Amino acid sequence: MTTTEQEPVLSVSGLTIDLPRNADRKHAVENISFDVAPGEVVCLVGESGSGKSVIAFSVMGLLASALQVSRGSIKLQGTELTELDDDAMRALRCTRMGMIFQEPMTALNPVMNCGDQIDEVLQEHTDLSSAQRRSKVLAMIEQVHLPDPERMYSAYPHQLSGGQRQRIMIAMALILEPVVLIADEPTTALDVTTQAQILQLIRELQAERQTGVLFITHDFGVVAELADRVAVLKQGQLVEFGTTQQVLANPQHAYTKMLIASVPRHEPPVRRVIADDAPVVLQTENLAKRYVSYGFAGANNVVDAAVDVSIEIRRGETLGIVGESGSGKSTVARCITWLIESSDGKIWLAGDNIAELSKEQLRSLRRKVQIVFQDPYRSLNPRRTVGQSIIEGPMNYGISHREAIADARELMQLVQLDPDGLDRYPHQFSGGQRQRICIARALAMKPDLLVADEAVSALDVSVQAQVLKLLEEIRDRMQLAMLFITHDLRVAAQVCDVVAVMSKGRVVEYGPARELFNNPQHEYTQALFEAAPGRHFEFAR
Amino acid sequence: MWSHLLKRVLAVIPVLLVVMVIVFLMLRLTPGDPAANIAGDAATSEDIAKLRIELGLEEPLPVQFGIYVSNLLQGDFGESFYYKRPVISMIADGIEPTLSLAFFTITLACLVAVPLGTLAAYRHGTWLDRMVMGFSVVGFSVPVFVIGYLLIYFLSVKLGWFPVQGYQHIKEGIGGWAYRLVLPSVALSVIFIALIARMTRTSVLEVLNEDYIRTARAKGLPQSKVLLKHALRNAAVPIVTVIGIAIAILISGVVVTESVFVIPGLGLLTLDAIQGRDYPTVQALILLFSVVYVLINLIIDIIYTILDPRIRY
Repeated sequence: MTTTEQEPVLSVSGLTIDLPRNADRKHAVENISFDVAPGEVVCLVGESGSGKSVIAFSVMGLLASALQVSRGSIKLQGTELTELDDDAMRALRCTRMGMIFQEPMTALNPVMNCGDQIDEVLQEHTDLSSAQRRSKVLAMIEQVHLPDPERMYSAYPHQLSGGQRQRIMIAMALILEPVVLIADEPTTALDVTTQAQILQLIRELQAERQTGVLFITHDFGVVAELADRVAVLKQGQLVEFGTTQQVLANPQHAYTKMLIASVPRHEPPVRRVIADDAPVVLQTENLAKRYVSYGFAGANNVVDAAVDVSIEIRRGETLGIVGESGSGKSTVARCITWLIESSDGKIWLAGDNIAELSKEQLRSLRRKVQIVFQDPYRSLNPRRTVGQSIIEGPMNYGISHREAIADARELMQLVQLDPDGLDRYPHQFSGGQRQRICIARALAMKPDLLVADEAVSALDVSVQAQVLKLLEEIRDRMQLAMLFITHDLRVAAQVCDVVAVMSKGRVVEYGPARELFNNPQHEYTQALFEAAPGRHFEFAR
Repeated sequence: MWSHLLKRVLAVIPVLLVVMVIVFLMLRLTPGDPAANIAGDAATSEDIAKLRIELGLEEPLPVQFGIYVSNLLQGDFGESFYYKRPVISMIADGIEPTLSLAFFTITLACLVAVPLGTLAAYRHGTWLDRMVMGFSVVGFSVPVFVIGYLLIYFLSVKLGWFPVQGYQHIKEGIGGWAYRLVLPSVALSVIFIALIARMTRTSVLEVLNEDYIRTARAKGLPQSKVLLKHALRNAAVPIVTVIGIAIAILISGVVVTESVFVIPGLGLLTLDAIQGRDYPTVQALILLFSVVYVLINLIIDIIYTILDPRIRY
């Protein structure tokens, strides 16, 4: 589809953007050149901090004021954007270049209905009457395949799902048929099946209108699915630019090769067998969680977040619970860790039925189940040193300060961090390092069961691969049982011995990872696998 | 929504009961005798004892409370010990000045503070922001009577632009009514401007970092629309909360301002009633203030649901 003979709609050359003086490097991006032809999708790929979003924002003229374009040019259909004043830039936004963002949950104004938010674009940039505008908005809502446009028009963002909100964003960005669409990780926050639909929609609208798309992503699956050409960014430098086929099948730069190699394979590796007589650490039987909100006059609202969940994990084994948002996977994790109380069913921990235990006994058992959360940026107290966070738990269970510190130093080594880092604060560590600290904190309690709730989802692929490897090593060395909650099938394929697929609160498929991945039985599992982006590309096999 | 409102209104009853008991006891258990006050310096102890019986103060406390509540249920707030007038008619006389002053003050405070706070947030870190913040600190720290007397000294005594004190009823002419309210409202509003401007600044500043503000800018909206339509509306809930609290505090602040500017409102009435240990008047006034507090909170709750469609009861 590459139409290089045509005049590019967007052309960036020699773009350099300076960082503020105290930053860790001089330029956010340096000497970046690429172009986007009409009807072409160019993906900018890179890990966090690579500068890919900075490029997108500089095109839109939405850079934070601390960042300045110092050199280079950005041309939109021949118009030099870096020389335009604020008003001229404003007039181009949404008319000739539109943008959609990563978080559909927060990118829409929560106190304005969706129709009015789209209408605002027309109000600002056209002279249409209010009736004309309304019919145009409704038509656009229909074009992004939202059901019942009238209802969508008057709906508030919180009443819609993530996918629907992203469709509203797309409608807003494309209603005036801009020549360039900039998409900043628009599907990263979405479930895999929703992601597939949104990618499909972007493809469809962009082909129909011959829109040039600059698509920013960290996910090589998405790249394989969507891109005509790919630009790989590393720390503000463009290290490789070529057609998708070239870059993915035959990467030239070492960094590109490393990134592609880090993408977890969809195929589970052959794993050592867990002995049948390995003790069962955790077992649940018909676990259920029901939320009831009491309404007026007996109109109760009942939500079954988890129904009939029966799973077991042996020592040294990793059980993965895979599912989309709202499937109940986190509810199960919270019931098992007693962060919430289950409403029905039994949970046995090392043979003890926890429902029959007293508060005191439960407290001593709590040590045995530890959890690592998704967001390493928010799960450590920013005002306490790493050491304080790690030793707090053991000391609470009667370990002396000296002993706890000695243990913590050992754990830091185990998670491959410098033990002297114990005196530092969380913000002095990178995301991957912080997740290692969270793991050390969990291990300090000497648990039998480690629950990882989306523990690698917020990390870049290269870091993700390292943390996954670390988790596996630790599990083998300490003979832990591990419960791995994830929405990412490829991650599950890599670390899990046994996988449970959850949908709408129920376990729909449950079995050894290899069998389940090679021959999914349930239609939901099949749909989930089918939707995974880039499945058919070489690297994903 | 309606069931929530009903619940809220019903919840007012125990609150008012507690207020009634506490005020009743506090008045009678603190030293001071209304009879001695009324009888004056020359009265003999027999005179005072007679007066106490007349006023019903010799009955046991539970009996007095019973009489108070049963009268109240019949809509009778009692008669002032001092003025021998029904308390309700005294409140009716005082309510216009007080409401006028409160209305002027809060309107002035909102009109000044909200734009000021929004601008400070938008021009975050500039001299304008620092000026607004500096003013807030000063506004918070200076008591209302100091500001009042300063205004009187400069604007009334020195420059003669405004009357020194007094109040004109609205029926005697809107011009004079408004003119005489300017100084007291300005004096009283300073602290609320400080409070609301600060809150507005913080709230808007937080909202300006939200993703939907970036979306609004990506749509090509001008700054003013981004600020007013997208930022301020989302920042409104905490601002409205503070304005509500301000109205509540205002009622107690009115007491001082009214005595500085000699405005015959509820504040002055409260002051007189407490000094004269005029039990029925104090009880009725505090009950009235409590009802106002509760009503303001209820209204704020309703405004929340209008401002933010995500809030539903």
